[in-house]
Amino acid sequence: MKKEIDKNQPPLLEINNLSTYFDTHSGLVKAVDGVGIKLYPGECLGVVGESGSGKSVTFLSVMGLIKKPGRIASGSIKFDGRELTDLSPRQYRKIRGKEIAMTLQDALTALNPSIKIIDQISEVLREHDKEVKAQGKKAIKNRAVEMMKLVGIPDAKNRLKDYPHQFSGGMRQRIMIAIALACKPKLLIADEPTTALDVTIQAQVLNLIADIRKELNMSVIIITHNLGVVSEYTDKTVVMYAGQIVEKGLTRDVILNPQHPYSQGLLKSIPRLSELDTAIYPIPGQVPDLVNLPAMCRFYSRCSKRSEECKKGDIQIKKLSAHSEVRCLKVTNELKTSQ
Amino acid sequence: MNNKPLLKVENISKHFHLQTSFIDKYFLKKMNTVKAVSNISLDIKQGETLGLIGESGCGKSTLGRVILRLHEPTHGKVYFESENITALNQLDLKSIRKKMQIIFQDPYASLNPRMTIEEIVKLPLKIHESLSRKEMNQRVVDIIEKVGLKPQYLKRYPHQFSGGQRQRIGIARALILQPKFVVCDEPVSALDVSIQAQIIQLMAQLKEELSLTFLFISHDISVVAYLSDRIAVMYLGELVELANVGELLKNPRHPYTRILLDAIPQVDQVGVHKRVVLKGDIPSPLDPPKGCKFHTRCPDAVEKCSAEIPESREYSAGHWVSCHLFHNN
Repeated sequence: MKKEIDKNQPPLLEINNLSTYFDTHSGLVKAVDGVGIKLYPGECLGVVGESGSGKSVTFLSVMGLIKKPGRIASGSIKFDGRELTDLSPRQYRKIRGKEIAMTLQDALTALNPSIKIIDQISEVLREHDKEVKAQGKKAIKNRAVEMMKLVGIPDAKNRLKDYPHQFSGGMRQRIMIAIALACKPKLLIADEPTTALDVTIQAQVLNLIADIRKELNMSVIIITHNLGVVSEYTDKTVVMYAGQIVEKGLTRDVILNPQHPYSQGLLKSIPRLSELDTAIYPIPGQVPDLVNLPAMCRFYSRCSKRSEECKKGDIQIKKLSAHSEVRCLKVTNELKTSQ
Repeated sequence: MNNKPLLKVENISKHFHLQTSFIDKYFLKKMNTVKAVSNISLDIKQGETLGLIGESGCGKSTLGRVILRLHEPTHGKVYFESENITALNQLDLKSIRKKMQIIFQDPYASLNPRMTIEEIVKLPLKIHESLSRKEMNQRVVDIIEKVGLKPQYLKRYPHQFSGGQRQRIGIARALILQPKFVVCDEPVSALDVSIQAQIIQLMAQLKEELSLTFLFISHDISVVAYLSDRIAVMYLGELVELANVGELLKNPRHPYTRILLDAIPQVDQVGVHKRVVLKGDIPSPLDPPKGCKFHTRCPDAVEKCSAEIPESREYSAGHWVSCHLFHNN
């Protein structure tokens, strides 16, 4: 899966300073606050964070799927040279599903229970793939079968007329991936693709995504809370906390040498099979309430390295090296002293 | 830890009969039976944590519940402190229940939304102990503090708490009767990573303090391995392997255990993902394969596997495997 990414190419996806807010009765929820991500063609990005960290909302914003009371308050999303935030719903439909595809976390609720699998897969083709559509119904059906075979659904030909409930969890996830890949998108966003699955099935689905990525030279974003998945399958990693990116960098650096106290805490809090005698250290406290957050470090209440200066205003994200950026006052201070 | 088994499970099976229409019954059509647990024997020593792993639908939760007699076993016996609890009537069972408790998976569904935390935690005391109101309140406050919550939370309702806090409430409810044995049914699966670590640490600490014995059920092998002394692996209702944690992780014998362990994405393996991927799904428990139940997906299967059910045998001291491949030696 490792390969050289050509940095001379323009990025496929460039998110700059994106903020998505929700106006709720209890106040303004800054679900995503100033997120910036660059993704080059063929790259695989892992997005890690706990529930409520804004990882799903960030990519629902990219897909143009934020509904009221949510709104994209500021920022830009550039995909393949085009600005997405200005698109009309009609223009968005032409991109969504064709050039950017997303698989959702819960495959049972994401698929329509009353529509046959074949119709759900061919719907994308009918909508986006003029070439196949022009060849008639039979061509569409053949393409759908081809997609089902690609994602490894056994006996695909005889299962076309089955409904989602007739498939197991792993198979449903595959059907979603088949729908997402039907138009050979340039970017696949997989939101928690394996959370509901058993480990052996999880390995099947992840290997499938990795293989197809190679085959189609597709960029992939895997949103997950499983650090093992990120570590084994991605090139770059973004760690999110309370709506902000707290650390980003090459996966190797983020996993083996995390800089932000939250990333460090997260890695220390998981038991590892290779080091059973090593104790785990939980991060104390809880994720802050995102309503009306004060302007200060959002990790302050749970941080082991906090000091008074962390409470003075929002913390800016700082570049540490060519690839890594960290949102923490302590990190830059320490680097300065060590240099 | 001493070697006396606190709990002994002997050839336990649990079959569920699926609802069939009366017409089917009338014409004596074969009944649909799910063999959720078949013929499992194991013992759990005093002060030990036995981890139980397996994929969804393998019967691990059912086994946990049969041990507590929350499900009646179809065959077999369960001995708790040398007493056969499968033979007890409901009245005698009540005194045993005090010593055996359960912590549930879903901290949202397992707490009654209409009861305050105080009512939830106090209920077991009301049922099992005759204490004065003052003593009862003291016990509630004690246990609430022990699980890391504040006594001023007692008048609140479950919806006012986060997932991690709710799981603490579930633990308090299970431990207030000072049980000896607790079945933990996926207690951390519904929680976020950082909160999960808090609960794991709390459980390890309470186990030491209150000298508890745990049956820890989870599909997350790293969590089970961290907390357990021994691990039992289940596949389609059967026990396929049982060994000490270190031995099982270093020398997994059963092909299923090997593949299961290999399938876990590990943090230390940056960029590595070459693994033997198990083909296919778990077969339907309604119609399990004949012979060894794993033979349909097993990479090492031989002819014998589809014909004969392998017996569980001791491969090396304390390491039990049910696989034909290891029976020739």
